Amino acid sequence: MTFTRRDSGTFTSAASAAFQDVVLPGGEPDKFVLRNRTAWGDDAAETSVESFRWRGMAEEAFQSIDQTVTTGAMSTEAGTTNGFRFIDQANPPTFAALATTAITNANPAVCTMAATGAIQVGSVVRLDNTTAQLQTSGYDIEVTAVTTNVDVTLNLDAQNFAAAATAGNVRLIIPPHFYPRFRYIMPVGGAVGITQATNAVVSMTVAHDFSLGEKVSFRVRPQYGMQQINEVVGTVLATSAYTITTDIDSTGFDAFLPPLSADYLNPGVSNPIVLPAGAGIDSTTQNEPFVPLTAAYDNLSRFIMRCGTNVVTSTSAVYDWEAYYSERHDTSDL
Amino acid sequence: MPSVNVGTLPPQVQQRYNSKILSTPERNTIHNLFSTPVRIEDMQGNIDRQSRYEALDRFPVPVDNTQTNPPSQLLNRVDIDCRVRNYSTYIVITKDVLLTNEDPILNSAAARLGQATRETEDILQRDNLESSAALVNCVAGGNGDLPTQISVDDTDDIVALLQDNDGDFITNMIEATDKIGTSSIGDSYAAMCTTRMIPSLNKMDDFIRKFRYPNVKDTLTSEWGGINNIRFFVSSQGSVTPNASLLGNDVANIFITAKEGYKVATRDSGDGRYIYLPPGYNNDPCKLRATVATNFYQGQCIDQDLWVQKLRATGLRAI
Repeated sequence: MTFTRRDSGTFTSAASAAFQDVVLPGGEPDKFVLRNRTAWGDDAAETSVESFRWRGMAEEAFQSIDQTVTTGAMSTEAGTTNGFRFIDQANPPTFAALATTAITNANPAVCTMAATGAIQVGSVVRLDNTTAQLQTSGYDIEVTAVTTNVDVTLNLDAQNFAAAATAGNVRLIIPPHFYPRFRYIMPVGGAVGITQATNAVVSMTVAHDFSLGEKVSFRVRPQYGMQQINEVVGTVLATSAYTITTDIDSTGFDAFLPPLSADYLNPGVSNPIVLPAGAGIDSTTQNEPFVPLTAAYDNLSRFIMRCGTNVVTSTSAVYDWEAYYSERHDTSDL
Repeated sequence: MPSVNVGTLPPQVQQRYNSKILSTPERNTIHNLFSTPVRIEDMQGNIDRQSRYEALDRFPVPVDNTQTNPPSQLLNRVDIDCRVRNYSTYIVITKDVLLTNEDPILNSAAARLGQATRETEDILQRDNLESSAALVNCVAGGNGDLPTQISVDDTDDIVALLQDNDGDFITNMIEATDKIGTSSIGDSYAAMCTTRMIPSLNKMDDFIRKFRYPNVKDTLTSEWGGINNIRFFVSSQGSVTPNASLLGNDVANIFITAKEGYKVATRDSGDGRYIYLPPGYNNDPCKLRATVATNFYQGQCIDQDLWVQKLRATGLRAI
């Protein structure tokens, strides 16, 4: 065994620009290759039609081959951001805080940032010290758009917050992958957090793990209004990426509304969350109701190679990837 | 005048190898201490399902004079599923090393694999609790952050919450004695936290360090002390969420559990084991490499979300 192609695979990139995670059971490879099968040889200009990562390169770095129009000529490129990052999800890396000078109180909220670092569309960020908008401090929120070194758009509806933030920090995080995971309840995309409805709809700022039929429980302190739902157990009737529809009738409950910014420090509050409370009957997919196994507590941590938006440059394109492992990696001549 | 002194001796002569191996730091394993153990028989699947029948409504309305039957009730059942996974790691040691090294390196490899196994079992439970337990922020510490540092008001709030949820205590009262400086310990829930919390624990009013218990014969090395109805167990691999406070400070996740709040599931043939393969296995025709490995099966889950609370606090020792 000298140099082995141990893992390989194919994926189709997302319909809009986003990173792609590739699972590598064998851990960090010595060489990783990513090739755009759709664009290869199609006589169209393509950045990073083939990209490489070698052991020892800095995280986020990549080397790639660009394709030019019609001539078939290729050129080489080296990049330092949004390339490849190897991640052990059970022991994820931590990142430095990046300053924001403003976070709008709009839908969606937008953070003005002179440096966006390694934040990409789909990243999860954690906010802190959000002056005048402490409703967002300490929360994990997905990123829906990035203008490099200008701003990032958050999966957060901040229009009911009294003020925009005038300063703060945005920090990239890699969330743990134990399943099912609790989620913070926050207004997202016009949804208020928890709706007052016959079937209450709960919105979250990070994509959730909950499945049809699963039992969920709530922790909502009085400062958030809808205290009647605290410790109530409901059943998930429908899901979308950031919402669940439950069988809880919340029409008579108080409205869900995050408190004023100042209340977060005095007297202080506990974040509203929805958390797993057991498996339940899913009667939507079979004639005979059954209790699916999808709500089983599980450890979904993996070794992954995150292929960033500077190497996954085409949307809805087929990419092939290969991971190579060498018996010996000699760095004695470096 | 030239002389023969120790400085002229070759380094190999100056060195003597002491075969007494130095200690390796080993972390306290605390997170499975209070779990309910269950085992899955071999060839019986890999997901353990346990069920709970929900309490019925109380029925304080009397049967009327016509003796009409009152409405019936549904007996609801909730299933809790827990998937057991397989965990492994190994070391490759060349025969050359086995023949050359002065100390019995396989013994050390076995010890370190055993330690890694136990510590991994522990952090699997820790990460499960971090992921799925209900959270309560400390708010009474007054350090200007959210959560604040821990205070007796926060621990009392958790005790009241667990009592409200009818959670049973895990340990019984340690009765007072006439030993000077000791204080009785009430029936208690168990708290598991990082050693970085020790200064904050010690600062709490009325916190009783373990050495002030009336009787320490039923305590563990990892126990630090108690306050009112909570006893604290600490580990250097206790749960910390980095930069998660309102001011961007690290947040300690203190898991406080009542009896039967969570469980650990294993397999009948899946306990941690040491696997030694001498040179000659694994595509090793020249018998150059031995392997030592460990392997175990474990699953973990919260059985009753009302009985496991994640109290979050700042004020951790800086690192």
